[in-house]
Amino acid sequence: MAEVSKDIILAAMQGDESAFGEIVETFQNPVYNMCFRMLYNEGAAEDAAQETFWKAWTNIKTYDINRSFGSWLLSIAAHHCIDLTRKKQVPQVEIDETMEEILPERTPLPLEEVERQEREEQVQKLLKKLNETDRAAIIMRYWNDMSDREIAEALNLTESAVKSRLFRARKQFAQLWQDAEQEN
Amino acid sequence: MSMHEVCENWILDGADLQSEDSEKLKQHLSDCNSCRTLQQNIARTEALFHETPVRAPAAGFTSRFLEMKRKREAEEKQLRFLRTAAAVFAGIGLVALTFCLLLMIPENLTAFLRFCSGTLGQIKVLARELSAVFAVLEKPLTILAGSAAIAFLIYFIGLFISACFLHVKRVRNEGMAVYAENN
Repeated sequence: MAEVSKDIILAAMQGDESAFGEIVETFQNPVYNMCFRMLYNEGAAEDAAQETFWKAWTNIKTYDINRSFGSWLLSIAAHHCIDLTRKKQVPQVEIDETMEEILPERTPLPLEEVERQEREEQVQKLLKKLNETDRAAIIMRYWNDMSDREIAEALNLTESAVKSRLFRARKQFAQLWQDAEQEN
Repeated sequence: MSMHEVCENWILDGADLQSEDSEKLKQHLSDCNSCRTLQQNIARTEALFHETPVRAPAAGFTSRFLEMKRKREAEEKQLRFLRTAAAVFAGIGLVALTFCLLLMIPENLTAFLRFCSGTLGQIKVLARELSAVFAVLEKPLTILAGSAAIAFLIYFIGLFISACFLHVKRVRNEGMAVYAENN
């Protein structure tokens, strides 16, 4: 995951808006990705990502400079999305609808695009089967290459709890593939 | 725990194995169809995740955030002011309420009323003393007031006469000018 220099973080902690702007620019993709894969709704993901940065800005004085800033941001994003999902404040959008928003109208899709669309659909199906915390742990592991310790720190869990959650999630994924093959 | 269970745990755990354990797993996979399928499915999942790129927001995310941030900060400033004002008013209200409640205690109420009546009595005495002073000075004050009224009257009569005189003079001058023009 991308990181910013400590000088920029310290400047942002002193209230420097342009330094924080640089932080937003650097971390917008991982934060948005976390929100999108947690919520699977473009509008809700944008709002959640904006809210994550707002929370980071208002609580930046509590940030421990020795910790990874990216992990800290992802921790805020994950907790915010978990709260939203539990409160059922996210409008449910099916994957086809999400894709229609992204792709140009009625143009034949190139093969690459069709494959990408199918992959996104499969990823959503897999992630949707998990509970919110397991989903956040999987996103942190596979899209942000975070270690068990970093995930545990971000999600306020123990390392062994993270290990067992990832273990359980992999088992579920394997079972889902198995079921899909049996259906076919 | 059987070898099958051990291998299943290794596959699901996803951790790097030592060469000896790795060899054991490889051997087990060649014999066990169930574990082979499990490993294949895990590998397919991981490959799918690795092939799916990080999703990026629409362009202009940072400027949208900074705009939202400024707006929220302005709102919070306004809210802080309102909260302070509300706290001040609540404080004043609390003091007033305490004062009222203290007055409700009969002893305090009588003491307060006594204080009020005492103050009113003092004002009354002061007014009476002032009227006594005015009674002594009644005649000279009347003469003074009468003289002032006469002086003002004379002044206004003088003002009126001089205004009339100036007006007559102006009319006469204008008439003479017209006469001179005609001749």
